[in-house]
Amino acid sequence: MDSLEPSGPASSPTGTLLDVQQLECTYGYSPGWLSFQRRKPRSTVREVSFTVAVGETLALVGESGSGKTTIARAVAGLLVPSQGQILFENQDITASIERRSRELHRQIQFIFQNPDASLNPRQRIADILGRPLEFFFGLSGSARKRRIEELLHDVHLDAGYARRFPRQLSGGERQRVAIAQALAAEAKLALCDEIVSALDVSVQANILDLLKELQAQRGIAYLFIAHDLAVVRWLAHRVGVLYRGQLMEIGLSEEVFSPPFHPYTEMLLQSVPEPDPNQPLPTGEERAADLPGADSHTGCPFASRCPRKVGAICDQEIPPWRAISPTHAVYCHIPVDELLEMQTAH
Amino acid sequence: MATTTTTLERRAIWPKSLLASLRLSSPVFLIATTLLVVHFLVALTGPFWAPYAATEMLVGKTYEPPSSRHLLGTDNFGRDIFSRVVLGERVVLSLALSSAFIAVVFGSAIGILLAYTLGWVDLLAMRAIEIIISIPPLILALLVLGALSPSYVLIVLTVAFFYIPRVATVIRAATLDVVTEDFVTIARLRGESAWSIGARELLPNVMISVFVEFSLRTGYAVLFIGGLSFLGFGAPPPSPEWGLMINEGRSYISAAPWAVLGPSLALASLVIAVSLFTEGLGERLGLSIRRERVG
Amino acid sequence: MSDNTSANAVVQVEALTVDFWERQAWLNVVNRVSFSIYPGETLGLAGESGCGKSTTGYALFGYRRPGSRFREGAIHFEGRNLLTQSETELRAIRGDKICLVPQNPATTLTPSMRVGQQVVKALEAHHICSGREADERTIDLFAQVGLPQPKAIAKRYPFQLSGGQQQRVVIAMALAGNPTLVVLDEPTTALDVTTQARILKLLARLQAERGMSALYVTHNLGVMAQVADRVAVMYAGELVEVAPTAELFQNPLHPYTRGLIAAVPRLSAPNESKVKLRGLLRREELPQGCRFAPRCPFAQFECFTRPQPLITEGKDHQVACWLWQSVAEKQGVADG
Repeated sequence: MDSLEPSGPASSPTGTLLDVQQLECTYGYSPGWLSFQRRKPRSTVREVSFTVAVGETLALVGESGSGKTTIARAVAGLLVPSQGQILFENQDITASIERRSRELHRQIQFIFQNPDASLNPRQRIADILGRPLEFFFGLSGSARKRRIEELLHDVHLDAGYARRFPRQLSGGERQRVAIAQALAAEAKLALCDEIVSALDVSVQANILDLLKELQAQRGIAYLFIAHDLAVVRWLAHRVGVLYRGQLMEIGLSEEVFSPPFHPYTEMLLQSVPEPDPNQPLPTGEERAADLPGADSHTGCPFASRCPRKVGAICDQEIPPWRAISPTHAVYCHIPVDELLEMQTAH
Repeated sequence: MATTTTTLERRAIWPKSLLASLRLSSPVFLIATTLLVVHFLVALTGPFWAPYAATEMLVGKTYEPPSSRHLLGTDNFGRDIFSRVVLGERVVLSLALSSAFIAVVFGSAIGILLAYTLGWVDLLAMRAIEIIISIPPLILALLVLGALSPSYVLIVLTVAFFYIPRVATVIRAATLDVVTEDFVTIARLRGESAWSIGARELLPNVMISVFVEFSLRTGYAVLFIGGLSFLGFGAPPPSPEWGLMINEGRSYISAAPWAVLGPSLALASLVIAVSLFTEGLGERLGLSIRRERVG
Repeated sequence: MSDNTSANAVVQVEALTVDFWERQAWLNVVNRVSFSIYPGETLGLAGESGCGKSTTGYALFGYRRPGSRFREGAIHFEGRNLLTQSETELRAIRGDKICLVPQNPATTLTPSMRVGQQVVKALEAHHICSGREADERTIDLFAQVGLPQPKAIAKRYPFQLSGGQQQRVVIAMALAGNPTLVVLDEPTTALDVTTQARILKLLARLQAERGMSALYVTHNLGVMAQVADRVAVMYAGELVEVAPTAELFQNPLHPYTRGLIAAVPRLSAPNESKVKLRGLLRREELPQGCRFAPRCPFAQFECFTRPQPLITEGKDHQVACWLWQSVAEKQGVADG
């Protein structure tokens, strides 16, 4: 379906690194002979489109079930979308990993959430970092050793760490090694799947700083998946908000974090507890949401929970994309100026 | 969405010194290990100090009771039983260890690859493995060994063949735990081949299971081969294999019970030692499964 | 709140010291921690992972992990020392007078039993009621914790509920016995941010209604600011600062507290603050004096050798740093 979804600031074809078009992922399709066996396919991602420019950070934010991890995995090639296209440097890469070239493997790197599971506990850090160097660039011997030291230095770890095993490192240090592993490949795009969610706040802050620094130095782009809007506020150039597989809002960071918001973005922002007792969480919904019913393919997926629901139209008709600026759009039935009025009123 | 996660970390205790290692082990484990070491030493050095050769028949000295010259007496051919037991150690251990080794090498390779590839290959292979396992080993072994002329090599290959699917099942299960970890996915995303991932990422993380399987299979092989020899389908006479000795001594057990007693005790002590050692090993290496809160 | 004395404290922890047996030696995990919780208040226990806050929280049940010991200290509750009670005596208290809401509801609830049944069992186990009365009580509790269609939900299994709903069931179980004290160990960390917001509001309401006290353990200072009346900050097993919530956030005195507050990602302002925490906790390198000294930007030589007790500064505000005044001057007040 036609969308007014805007592209990033560097929207010229040469500046666009990753171009995801109408991505759709489903699972659970079960043909079966008997009627009770037949299950309708469930969408985890519904026609999501976005771009990531060279050297920029696009954050995809959403709660559980939003499909954000699925999108990252589709871009990585870990799963094949049922529909849509993924273009990398203007080439179609929608295939699964097995079909991709080694060069492509090198260009797109994945960093995982759990620092314990990302590193082979039986390998020393030097081996963990050395493998991509060996595999992609054929480095060995002293050249390899030197490069490992450089990488450790880039992520602010002492060169002595090369001899250690992952269990001797803290969570934050392991995440740095995971980042170094992605750097080793000299990738153009790093898919960061909730990489700071498992870390303490103080360590989180340091890792986010590191990511910014590395981006400035190397021009690497990040597709940053997160569930916390506050975390991405100062890291992302652009932000996309997802709900139940549907992109609800996308725009520049400053635009998304100031009104008018999509009602879901508004709810997310209001739910972030600030470390300031004078800013209590706003009064509102306290009761639990109803149990998730069957996925409605009609209307807006957020309709059942939306505090600004207009009426039956939200349940029955798919919302349009409304452009607020060339770079900012929301997926909502409510016209933009009405949203703005409602949200700046208080 | 957890910002505090728990992890299961399997940590083997590798103590810093042998002394610390001894302190950590249970007395049973220590006894078993000592006994095992004795058996190994006998196997290695036996030929140098055994008083008589295995096939040396002393004329006129049949059915001699135990004495200072013949610690376990002599058998119906006048052969010194003690020497035969000592020399038989080498046969028994080398047959068992070879079978176990081949079984573990091939079984682990198959198990790891199946756990990694999954899909229909795994489905079919596992069914084939289940079929092979369900055949009573003794019966098929008897068929094979009965049809072909028995030799040490044939025994080792047959026994190994039966243990490969069992080892594969165990190692496959152990590998399944590891296969879902992110670092394996990272290697996959790099475009590494299945062999490379199996060897570099998976194998080192299941080494403990491999060692334990090796120890376990050795124990089973000792009994299995002993049993086959006892039935006459294993080591060919005049091998000093203990199972064979027991069978040979059966017919004149009332005349010379020591001919059966000697190899029986040796066999029992070896099997018990290996079993207890395996148990202790598994316990020590699989120990310390901790839950740690991360970050 | 300030006319609370130890006399009317619901629970009083005195010099609690806990060690863990690790790598063939006793490792100190909680060191001489003392605090009181007063009727109707929520005391927040904040700190990074590994600082001993969960261990302290669980000690309130007299619970110690296998391979740990209570080396010193006492926990006074209803005239008894919980650390010296027998298992039978403790069992009468746990789940009844002192209840726990742990972190992950999915692992707290029995997966093979319907949720209504689990609450009924809790009621029966503590001899509160049984049979028909227990069923009705359960439905009532579910309604109180904001679950929609309580009767229908009671018949469901945990996997049929969302994370937030599961946690509400756990809260219902905890409240079943009308406890005096509830210990909450990161109850919302495993939940979505919008679900978390709802649960926090629910907890606030329940507490106001029932007047129970709570110990809220979390590393998330944003959440802390929303739920706690007073906050105690722990570092490496020791208390470094205790103050009423508003006071703590407006005027953090200890360098660690400042760093912790500054590290929280904010929507309003970027993390350009200079008080950011550097380095990380290295248990092998803890000095004899202030345990935070290796990471402290203001540390002087004496800090490493001189242990820092809690000094009371002003009304209700305690800090374990002898340099707090000069720190405040250097930083400017209300930074972070």
